[in-house]
Amino acid sequence: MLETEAGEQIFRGKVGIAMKKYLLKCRLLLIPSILGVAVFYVLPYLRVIYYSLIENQFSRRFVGLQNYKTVLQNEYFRLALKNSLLLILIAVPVLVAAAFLLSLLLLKMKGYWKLLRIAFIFPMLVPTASVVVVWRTLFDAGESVWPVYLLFIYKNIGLLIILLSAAFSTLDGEVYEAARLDGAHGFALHRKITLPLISPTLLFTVLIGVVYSFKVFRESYLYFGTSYPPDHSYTLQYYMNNHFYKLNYQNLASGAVLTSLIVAVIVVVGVRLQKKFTI
Amino acid sequence: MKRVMTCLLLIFCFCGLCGCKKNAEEKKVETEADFVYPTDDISLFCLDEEGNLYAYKKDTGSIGVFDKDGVQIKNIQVAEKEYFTLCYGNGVLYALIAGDGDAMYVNGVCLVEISQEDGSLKTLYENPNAYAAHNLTYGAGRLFFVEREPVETEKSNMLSDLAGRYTYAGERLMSFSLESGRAEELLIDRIKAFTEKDEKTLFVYAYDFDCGKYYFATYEPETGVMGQKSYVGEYFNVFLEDFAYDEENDKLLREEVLKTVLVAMDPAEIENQSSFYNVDGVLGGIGLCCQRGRSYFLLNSKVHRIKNDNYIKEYEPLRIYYNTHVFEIPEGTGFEINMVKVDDETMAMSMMAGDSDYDFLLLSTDSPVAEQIRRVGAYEPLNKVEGVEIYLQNSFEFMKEAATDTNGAVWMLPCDISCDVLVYNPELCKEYGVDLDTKYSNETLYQLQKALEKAEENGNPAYYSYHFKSEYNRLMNMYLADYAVVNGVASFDTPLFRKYSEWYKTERDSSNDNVYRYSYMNPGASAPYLGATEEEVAAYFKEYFSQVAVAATEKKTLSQEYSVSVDGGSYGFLDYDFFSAKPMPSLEEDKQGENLADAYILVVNPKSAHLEEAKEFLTVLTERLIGEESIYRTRVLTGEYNALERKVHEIYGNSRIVFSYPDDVFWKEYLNYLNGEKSLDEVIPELERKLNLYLKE
Repeated sequence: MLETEAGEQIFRGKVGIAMKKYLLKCRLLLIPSILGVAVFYVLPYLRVIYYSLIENQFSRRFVGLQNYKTVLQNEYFRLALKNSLLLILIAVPVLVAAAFLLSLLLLKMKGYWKLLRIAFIFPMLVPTASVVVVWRTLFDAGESVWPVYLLFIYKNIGLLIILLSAAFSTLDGEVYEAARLDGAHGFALHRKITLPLISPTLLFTVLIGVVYSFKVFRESYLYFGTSYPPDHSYTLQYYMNNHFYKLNYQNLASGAVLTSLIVAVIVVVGVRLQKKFTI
Repeated sequence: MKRVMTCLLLIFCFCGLCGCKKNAEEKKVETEADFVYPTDDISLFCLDEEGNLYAYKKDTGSIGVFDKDGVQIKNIQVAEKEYFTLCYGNGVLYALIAGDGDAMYVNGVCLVEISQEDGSLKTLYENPNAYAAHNLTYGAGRLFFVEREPVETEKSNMLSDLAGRYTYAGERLMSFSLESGRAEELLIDRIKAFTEKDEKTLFVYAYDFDCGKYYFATYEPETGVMGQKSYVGEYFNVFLEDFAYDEENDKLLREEVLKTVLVAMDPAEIENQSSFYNVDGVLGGIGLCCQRGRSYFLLNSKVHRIKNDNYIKEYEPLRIYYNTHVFEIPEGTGFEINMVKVDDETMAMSMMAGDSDYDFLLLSTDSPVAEQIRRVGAYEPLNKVEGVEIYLQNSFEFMKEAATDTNGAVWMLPCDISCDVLVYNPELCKEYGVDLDTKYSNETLYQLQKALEKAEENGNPAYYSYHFKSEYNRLMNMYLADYAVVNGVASFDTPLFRKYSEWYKTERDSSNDNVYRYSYMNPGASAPYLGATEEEVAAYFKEYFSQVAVAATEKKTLSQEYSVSVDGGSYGFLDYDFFSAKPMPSLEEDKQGENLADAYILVVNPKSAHLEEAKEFLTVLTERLIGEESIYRTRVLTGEYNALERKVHEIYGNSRIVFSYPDDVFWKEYLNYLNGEKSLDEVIPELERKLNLYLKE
């Protein structure tokens, strides 16, 4: 059939139709997911943006960016923003570094020691309230921000170890053999071979860490036991939570939109870097 | 062209239909003034078919007959008997009377015909075993009534259901045939009362043992067919012996004697009820009649007549979410009000979600939600609601100020106010070494408290209701209101705060007794009512109250709890001139400021599904509140009040409403200090930090 030009065209036409039908089926199957995302994520987010642009839900008077201005000028929003960024700049690198090193260590274990990796999953399974009870006996609530940072690292290290361990397991041993033959050992081996090879996963874990850092509110709230924690731990989530209870939905919405923009910028930058460093 | 014409025609028809529908909905109600028959000391009455009233006077043993205008047509002298109830049917006057037995309890019951000429009685039916009867009515040649026979305790216990508040008292629904002269029992299980619906149908009120609830239902005596049961709700006053049916409005009516209101119920859905008429006096509790859309009832032993249309409103029930039940919505407004208790969080979430399921929020200003409502604008402005402006003008100035938002909108209706007042007996206090008239402060009150406690240990009979321990809430609220924020910054590291904190903690830690230790106050339980004359009771209470040295009171204490009503006399603090009153002392002795008050407020839901009805309810409510002059609320008093009442009025008038902070901001941390977990030096910076955060974030 393909021998003649006409036959080829007919063939291509049939393939095209089949492809179109296939694509149509794919799109139809995607509709429930899209609807779900739209209803439970997109529409509420649009509503939040709307709330951030009006005076209140009852008068619904459009005030433009006035709410954003109010929020950005608020000293406690700026304090919360600073604390949230510090959490990202300090706790996330520590979390990723610790997860990386522990993954490497677990990779080298043999025999029953391999079961040790299961232990790092337990923090994810233990209820946060139980962990906080232990934390409060170990640390004095209020003096320092480090208990919260440690709590964040403790709760999330398991997931990062799983991701990194999976990345390590995909590495080809022959590359390492070749590198050793060339004289590379120890730290140089990991710097030249391991890091570049797992850089996509590493960047992904950093992004996960950043996103999770914005979810650390529950642990912090339980740890301090109040909606008004010490200044060093007052993060964006507290700001939004308190405005929720004050029924100040406009400040809450503005803060939420600003927070989502920050996260979006970080994620976009991270994804671009990931693409750049992907081998 | 055809299409245009057709469209125009359709639009015209549509508008016409809308107009017709609207007109149909607008039921014109002709007002008719309430009427009181010019005869008193009435114990029973009934009506004939023309609406003439037959009113029985026990002390004269006569039945007066009055026309609709109250003109007496006749007076019938009847035999001296105990009359249970009267009824008129087919030109004849009937009555249920006690039999001729001379036992203390069971004397029998007789159904008699009363001659309208000479008042002689002709016995139609007699049951020597019955002890009481009620609900006599005539229908289609028969007389129906409920008689009660004594029942053994064991049988009564077996048939009763205490969980459902039902006690079997030997009731039987009887039907007497005038033609055959025979009476028979209509077998309705656990009947309590009935009324006539029409010639052939009764409404019965009975108890359903299987369901554990009382119910109303129609019943046809001829066929024995009972209609669908409509069960009463949880809060229904089940002790009902008399009710009536308004055919014109299709409502069952009953009296709520304790609340002094008439209540209208939907026969198909009994839980839909509204108190539509408020009375000032003592309702008879029996003999309620309804004829041609008018209710007849006994009030202060006089027969009153009202046109139900004037009071019964055909609106959807209104729902109020409340978190405090201190303010009782007045009865008799004609609106059906459903009260739903919710916590602060549910209240706030319903409000912010734009929930249209509720119509009002009823809360106190010391709830954090109150201030949030005003701040976020979650209210329907009431400026244009009829009656609200007049009500606010009529109330204390500070109530109007608190009700007005910064943009001039009236955001709430302050229905009631409560603030603390110190009532004291100056002469008695001097006996304990404290002259509150000369020197008045928290310190002198404390001194007085200590002196009274010491004297109490030696058997001193003086009564008092003041203890420094129970004052800490008020004192801290005062500090939070007036001193905690200076130029927008939290300020707790002050000598004043430290002084009162340390003082309170010392007092709290030192005493081993109950925190609220103070001498017994309530005289009601021990008062000698039985057999005592009014003068003796009055003397007893005067003697009691003369021994009260000091009492920190709120409105409830001043006006209700300690005001005991006995045989029409009322005895409370405000009745005695040996008392004086002052506002509770300020934190600083030389700065007696305004008293702090809590207001109980109604906020209209802007998303309410019944917004117009809600506003109309407010109009009726404000009218009622304005009509009920109160020393706790009315700005200018026109009635007669004694000096103490006027003093209390002055104290209330010189108050202000302050909204409170959430517990997490102050009390949670402060309790750490009171419980000894932290020192004051540790707590103060935390309090300042939290309050600053709360104010500025």
